[in-house]
Amino acid sequence: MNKIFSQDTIKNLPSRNVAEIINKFLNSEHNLSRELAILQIALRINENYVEYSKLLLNEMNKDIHFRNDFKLGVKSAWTLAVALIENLIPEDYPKIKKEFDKWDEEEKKDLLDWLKHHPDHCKVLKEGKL
Amino acid sequence: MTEDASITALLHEAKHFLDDFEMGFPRMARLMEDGKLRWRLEYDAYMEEIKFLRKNKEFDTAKKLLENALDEKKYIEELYNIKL
Repeated sequence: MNKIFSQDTIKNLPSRNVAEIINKFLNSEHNLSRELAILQIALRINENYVEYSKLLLNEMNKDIHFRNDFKLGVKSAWTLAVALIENLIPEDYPKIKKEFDKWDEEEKKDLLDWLKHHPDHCKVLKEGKL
Repeated sequence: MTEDASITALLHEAKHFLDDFEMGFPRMARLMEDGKLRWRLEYDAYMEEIKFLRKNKEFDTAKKLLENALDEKKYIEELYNIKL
């Protein structure tokens, strides 16, 4: 899979514990804060896979991540979906599809269009497998 | 952008497009890595809007946008723990 996000993406952020990231940034009014909080949790998912994967999957359908205050054309819901695809184990791909299936058709179409050069990501979203 | 977006919002996003073009369309992740770069890009885009509004004597809206830009700066400073 050709990944979009890596440790480099968050290399300039201060080291924070997950509780602080969740409480202060994950549901922030500021889109970039939410996006980077998602990535900070997703990229350390192996520290507590069960809890962090459940947390991020649960975020996938929260209204705050669909807010139209995005910058650079990306909603935090999109970052969430990509971060999950890139960091969950393949056995959990159906869980991502299940949450993605709940999105409005327009939202699904927009994300799949944004990911058109990432066929693996699209397959996980559409089929729940790779 | 939404269909009912303002002309200044279009100017804002067009500025982002031109900056991206000048930088050779960097990866999205690259634009998330660097808080100072992020603020510079946002500042320049907001100033496109503010200059247009001032030119058209829309001072109240320009003031509101300046406040939005300063909010953005505050969020970026807190997020990256930097002083801009």
